[in-house]
Formats: sequence, structure tokens, C-alpha cells
Amino acid sequence: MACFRAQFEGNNEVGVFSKLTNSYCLTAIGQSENFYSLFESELGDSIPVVHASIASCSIIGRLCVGNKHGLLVPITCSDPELQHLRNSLPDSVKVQRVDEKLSALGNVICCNDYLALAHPDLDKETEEIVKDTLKVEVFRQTIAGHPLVGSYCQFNNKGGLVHSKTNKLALNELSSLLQVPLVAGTVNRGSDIIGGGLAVNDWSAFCGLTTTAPELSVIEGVFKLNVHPVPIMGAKMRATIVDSIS
Amino acid sequence: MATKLDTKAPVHLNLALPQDKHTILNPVLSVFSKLGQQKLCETHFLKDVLSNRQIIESTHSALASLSPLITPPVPDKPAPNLNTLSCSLCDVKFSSREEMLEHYKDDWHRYNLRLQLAGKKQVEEQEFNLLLSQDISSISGSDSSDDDQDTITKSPPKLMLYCNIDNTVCSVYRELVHHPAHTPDTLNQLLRSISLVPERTRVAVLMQSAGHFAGAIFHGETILCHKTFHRYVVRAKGGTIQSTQDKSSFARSMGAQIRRANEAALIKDIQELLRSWSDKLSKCDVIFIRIPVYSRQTFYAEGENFGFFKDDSRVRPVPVNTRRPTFTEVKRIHALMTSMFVHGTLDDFTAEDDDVTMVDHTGTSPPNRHIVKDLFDALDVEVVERNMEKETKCEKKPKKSRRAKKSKKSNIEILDPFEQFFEQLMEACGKCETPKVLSLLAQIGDPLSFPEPVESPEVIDTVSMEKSAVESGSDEDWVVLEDPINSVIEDTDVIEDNIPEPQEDNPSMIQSEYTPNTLEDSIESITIRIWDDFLDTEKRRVLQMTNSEGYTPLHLAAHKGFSPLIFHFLRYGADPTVKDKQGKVPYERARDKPSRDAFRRFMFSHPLAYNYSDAKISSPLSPEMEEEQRRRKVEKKKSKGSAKKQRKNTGKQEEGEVCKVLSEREKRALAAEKRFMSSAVTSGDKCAQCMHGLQGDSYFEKSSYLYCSMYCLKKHRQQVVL
Repeated sequence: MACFRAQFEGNNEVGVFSKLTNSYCLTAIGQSENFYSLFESELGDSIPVVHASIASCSIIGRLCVGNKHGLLVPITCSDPELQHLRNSLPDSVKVQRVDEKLSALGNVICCNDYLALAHPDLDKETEEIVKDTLKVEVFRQTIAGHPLVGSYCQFNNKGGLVHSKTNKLALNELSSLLQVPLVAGTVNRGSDIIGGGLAVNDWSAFCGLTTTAPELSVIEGVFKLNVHPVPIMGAKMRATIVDSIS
Repeated sequence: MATKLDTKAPVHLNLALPQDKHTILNPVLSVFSKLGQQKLCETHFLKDVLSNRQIIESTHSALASLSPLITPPVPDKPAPNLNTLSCSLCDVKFSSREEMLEHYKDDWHRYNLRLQLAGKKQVEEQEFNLLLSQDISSISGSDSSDDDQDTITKSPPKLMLYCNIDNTVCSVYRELVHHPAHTPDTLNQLLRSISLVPERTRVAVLMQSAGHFAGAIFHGETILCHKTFHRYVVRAKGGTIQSTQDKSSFARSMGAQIRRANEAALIKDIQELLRSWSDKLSKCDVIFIRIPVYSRQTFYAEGENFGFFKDDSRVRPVPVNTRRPTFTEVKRIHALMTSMFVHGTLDDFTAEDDDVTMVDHTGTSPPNRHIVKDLFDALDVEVVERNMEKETKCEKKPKKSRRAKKSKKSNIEILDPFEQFFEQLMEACGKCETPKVLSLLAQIGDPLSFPEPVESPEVIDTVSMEKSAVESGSDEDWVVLEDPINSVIEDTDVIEDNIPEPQEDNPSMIQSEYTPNTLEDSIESITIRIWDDFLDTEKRRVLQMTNSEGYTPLHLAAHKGFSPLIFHFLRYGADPTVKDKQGKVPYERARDKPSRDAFRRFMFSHPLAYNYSDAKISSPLSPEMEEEQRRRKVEKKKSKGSAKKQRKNTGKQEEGEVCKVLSEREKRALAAEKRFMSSAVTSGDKCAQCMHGLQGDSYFEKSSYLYCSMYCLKKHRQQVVL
């Protein structure tokens, strides 16, 4: 199983306090270690889980953007913080500081390892940096009329979840642009702020404690996190199980 | 549904339900299937699920395609179509994915996105291309000079207006004709310089601001050469260039050093460029230059020859507001400067704004006409249509049928004298040039005298003192504008005339500087003459005129906080009840207390002059009150100082007393207690693996065990598994 419920000091916005990619995971520094330890216990074997802060804030998930190739932090990130990130992340990950007016990069950019969506007002220079550092193609888009693409959607290399009010045509266009299936949905019991409520990579996802079961199942389905049950539970087997239960 | 469901036999229930409920129940089933595997899924979430119907609905469609577990066999395809090759925003369809990707990176798409965010309608591609060819320079995010454009304050451009024989009014910028400082003394000289204009086809435009430089040399319409560069020199937060900042404090940060180096490099770049252009620049007929004061050194460096020098009459300032120096901006300025604006017929032109009184000079001699005719035949005339007109914010907007034709024969027509006078007044007012304002006001006439019910000797004192600073004008007749009933001349003026001026060093000199005779500009001299012809009553209208923001001169003085000017304006009849575009009266615009006090002081000395409740001036301020205030302030200061001293003393005493009361032993006990409090261990908890006591907040809980580190957690887990 690969979708976990977590809370950061009583707050359900997991995507705000963590940054999860395929090659590293950043978690915010808090009073208790519960949040970090969940990430560490689930991911620690495969990728480094690193305590980090940006501009002395714990909202790192909204301030930075990254994928397996790199990490972009805003200009407010201090030198020691940047140094700490460079030290603790794998050498293959390029860490780059970006001077951008829209400094909450996590809110204005959303990416997987191949493609990125960006706020329409993002600087052209920033777009170039995103292209070079994260090795992605960048498209300016809005999600359900909102320019904050990073807040209202979340996608990995296999699928994505977007704001629940996205209309069907826009959803189709987006998914054909990103070449992954997308689904309109919610997290944290009906919250549209997918980026804030969910941290996801190719094999695991973390969402708020209030996320309901249907939401969880949507998340697992669209991000293709539950690869195992499908072959096991074939149609035949289902029939036998149902038989035995009844 | 919620009542039927029971955690004990969920699947059973599901089977009993009709087929079409499957999709809704699927989430429930998936939860059950997880129950065995995942701790976190607890049964109470089920209740949430079922009570929160809305969530089920919202995720319903998604689930239909995704439920992988116990759904009836559904075709195995993802719900969204990955081959939708279209953009609904721009309403286009594509034949291939490459085409689509290209579109999504397109400026057109980006522009439409911005329109969407601004709540505007999207544009078609042709429409966008049309816009692009006109004036959209900031589609790409980086050169977002939008903010700059908004803050540009539009001032009326300095246009020279002409009226030709066909009664068509047209105008060119004065800077194209002559240097603003080297104005011809006579009309003939002016006409001669106008006649030279058509031959001035080589024009250079050089612009620099905030680390950006753009320059181009034009020959007619063709661009001979152009260059732009940008260096990082402006401090992001402070907003000034580094060298300006260094005057106040010399920062040694890395950023400051980079900016300093960049500034030097920018100067070097510019000078090298100018050196390489010096041949072309020396051949230029007109050089329009827009540079900040601090970079004069760069452009007029000593010992350098850039093809122009400091007091060159060919070098002229750009008389309009400019945006960030870019190549497009340079082209725009060039087009604007070398264009002639056609304002339609004279009737149209004057009908447009009734306030403006046009004065027609038909008495120009025939030879002059010939010269002017030649000029306009040869001048590369661009007929500037309405949109251009909007851009320059020309005060006089022509009406619909603008004749797009070249003017043949022209007479010289002069700018509206009121506007010119107003402009002068506003300019002087904006710079707080008190003597200039006063001399200008003196041209309007005498200060108004208002009925004063009670005149205590003190009042006369203050009024006469204020008035003494002003030139007392001629003995012409004058009338109170607003209130004709009040137009009673009082004898106080006579008294004031006799008082010598203590503040002005040499008032006659100052006056002469602005008298019509010595004005350098012939146009202006004509203006003044006409201006003089007006009655004082009419002249006073200037004080009620407003600029683009709806400011009267009084507004401006109040806004800038020039308290002495406020008093003078009020005396000359500037109405304090006039509202600006935001509906604020001058009193509300007042910047600080002194300027508000100026209004109140005036209210005290002239209680009946204006409707003060409309002017929103709260209460009059008499000299006694001011004295009182001053005294109170001093007292307050004194008492504050003494209170502080007292507090200090008592604090010291108390401390001493406490120390005396406690015995030596008690003190020790207290200190020990403090120490104990600070070092107390929070709990007796121990790490589940290494059994060390857990201290501070570095421990954490995982699966109801406590651990001191991740290492212990992993080890402990391995043990448990074994």
C-alpha cells in the first residue's frame, strides 16, 4: 500500500509541509518528529528524507518545486539552507535558487519528471531555469480558471489529480498535454487545494488525516499506487471470494 | 444506505443491492478491502463516507473508471481522453501533438490566459497579431513593465499647434523644431527653424534608465543602427541605483559589489557604443535623449567625442513620458517625435472643449506662409489617428471626422493661454518655487479681500505679514469670482501696499524674470500678451482648472505640503471646495499638520470667504490657540522627562528592598530551585530499542513505541519482524 494519511502538528495540509519527488523527500522542521518519521519509515529505504526549511519557514512544499532532476528554491532561501539542501540531496539533483516575483514556486509551478505547468505570469527567465534545471517542458496553464497551478493540481509520471471544478473538456486537454490520465477530485474531505493537501511521487502518496476513503481510493487509482491488488484480484478470484463470504 | 450498511457483513449487503448502485458503493468496498492491510483506514471513516454524500458524488465519475477491485468488468481504459488535440481557451483544434505543444507555448495562448485571468474575452489569432503589430510589448513575463506604465503620470505634451488655410488644426512636438532652451527670439526666427525641419531626417534616440540602455539612429523611416543592453544595477528593494545609495551608506554586501561593478561596466558599454557611433551621431540633425541626471557624466564625458557635446542645440530632451528603454520604445518615441498630429477642422477642435478659447492669428504675413507651406509639403507627415491621440493623452481631443490629409498652407496658432499659464503654475507649485508662484499669482491680479466681521488688531497683523510676501499687483479692477455679492473693496489693501516687503530680497527682479518682455520663447510671449488682455476675473479661472488627476493648484500645494502657498492660493480665490477625481477636497489632500493648519488659519482670518463645511475644514485656528498648543507641547515634554526619572528611581529602590528582606539561605534555595526547573527531564520515557532515557524533544513515537532516532526505529522493527 502506498497512500498514507499524515498530519503536521495538527495540520492536514501535507503538501504544504513536505516536498516529495522520485529521488528525494523534504520535510518541514517541526516540534515533533512524528511527521518526519512517517516519511522516513516509508521512504527511508529508497530515497533520502531530509529535514529542511526555506527562509526559516516550514511551508517548504509551497515555496519550492522539484522533480528527480532538480530542485528550485526561491530567492528568500538563505545561504546555509541552500548549502544544507545541496549537502543532503543526491549529487544528481541540481539545486538552484530562482529570483522570481511569484516566490511561492510550489504554488505557481507543478511538475513531474517530464513536463511542468506554470502560472501565466511567471517570468520568462524563470521558465528557462525551470526548463534547464528540472529538464522539463514548460506550459503556461490555468486549472479551472485559477492561475495557481501548483496549488490546484498534483501529478506524477503516471497520473494526476486536479481541482474538482475542472470541466471535462479542459480535463481532456490537460491530460493530453501532460500525457497522463487526470481526474478531477478532492483531498482532505472535499478540499480543492490538491497541491496543498497531497504529496505524491511515483510509488507513494501522503495526504491529510481527514482524507476520506473514496478520496484515498481515487488517489491510489489515478496515481497508480496500488499496482499489486489488480492482478491478484481478477474477476475469477472475486467470484470465489464473494462466494465464500456469502 | 447508511443504516443498512454494517461493518460485519459489508460485501453481503453490496450483493443484495441492485446493479446500478455498484459505482457508488465501490469506494466503500475498497475501504473494506484495505481494512486488513492498512491500519490507518478505520471504520469511522465509513460513516463519513456515507454521510458525506457530496464527496461521493464529486468523486463518482472518477471512480467509475478507476475502481480496480470489485467492479463489474469495465472496459480497461483511462477515463480522460489523452488524444484531445484542442485548446478550448483559444478555441482551436490541432492535427498533431507537436502542433498542440507549440500552441501551448505560443504568445497568443499566453495572452489569452492573461485575458482570462483578467476576466476579459479571449482574442482571435488575427486580432492578436494585429495587436502585436501595434503595441503589446509585454507578453512575455519578463518585460512586465505593466506596473511602470500604470504609474506614469500623464502630463499634457508640449505641442505646437498650427492652423492652416483649410482650417485644419495640426500640431508637432516643439522639441522637433527647436531646443527648449534655445528658443528663437522672434517669430521669423521661429519660422526659419520650422522651415529646417523637413531636412532633419537623421534622428537619433538615446534612452537610459535603471540599468537599461536603448539607442537607435534613424534616417527617415529606416533604422541605420540600434543597440540595447541591460545590466543589473538597481537595488531590488531600495529601487535606486547602487551609486546613489552609496552616497548615504556604503554597503559592502555581495549584491552591492556586483551592482557597482555592473554600473561601471554599463558606463563602459555605453561609452564604447557611443564612440563607435560618433560618426553617425555627428551627422544627426536631432538627437532625442532621455537620461537620468546621474548618467550625464556618461554621455557628456570630458575628453570624449561622441559626436555631440553638452550644450549642443541638436540634443533635445524627450518631452513625453517614456517607458523602460527598449527597442520598441525607442521606435515609438521616434515615431511620436517625427509625427504631425491632425486635429480636424478648427470648428471641430474648438467645439470639442468649450473651455478652451482659441485665439486666431490671421495677421501672419504672406512670405511666412510660403515657408510654412514648404515645410509641410516636405515634412514626413504621419497622420496620427485616434488611438495615437489617446496614447499621448492630448488634452484637446478632436471629434470624429479627422481629415487624413497633409496641411498645405498654415498660419501660426498659439496654445491656449489659460492652459499654458496653468501649466506654468502647476510646475512652479510642484517644485515649491514660492517666488515664481507668487509672481504668477500677481499676474492674475490682487488677492481677494473677504468680508471680515470682527477685526482684532492681531488678525490684521498676521494677514498683513502674510500678504507682505506677495507682490501687490496693479490697480486694475478685480471682482470676486465665486460670490459677486462679496465683491466689496476694503481699505485693508491700501494699508498692505504701504508695508515694505521683508521676505523678498529683490521682488522686482523676480517679477521681471517672468514678465512677458523678457520671455525667451516667442510663442510664450504671444501667449502672455493675450493672457494680459483677459480680465482678472477670467484669469482667476486658472486657479479652478484641474490637471489629469483632477488637481487644482491648491490641491497640489496641499498634497505637497507647501503651507505658505496654500494660504496665498486661498487669498487669490482658489476654491477649497473643488473636488479632485477621487472626490477629495484640498484640505483632505493636505499632507501634514502645517498645511492643514494653513487652511485653518485662513479660515480664522477670513471666516466668510468660502463655504468651509463644504471644504471640510474642521475648525479655525487662531494665533492664541497655536500659542496654547505650543505651550502644552512643551509642558508634555517636561512632564514626560520627569516621569521617566521618577520611575527609574522607584524601580531601583524596590529591588534593593527585596534583596534586603531575603536572608542568605533563602536566596540560595531560590537559585537552586531555578536551576532544577530548567534542567528537569520531561518524562521517564525510554527508547524502545536502546533503552536510553528520552530527553528534550528529539524523540518520536511510531506504532505506540517511543524511539530516540531513526536508527533505533529500523533496528527495533527488524527485531519485531524476526
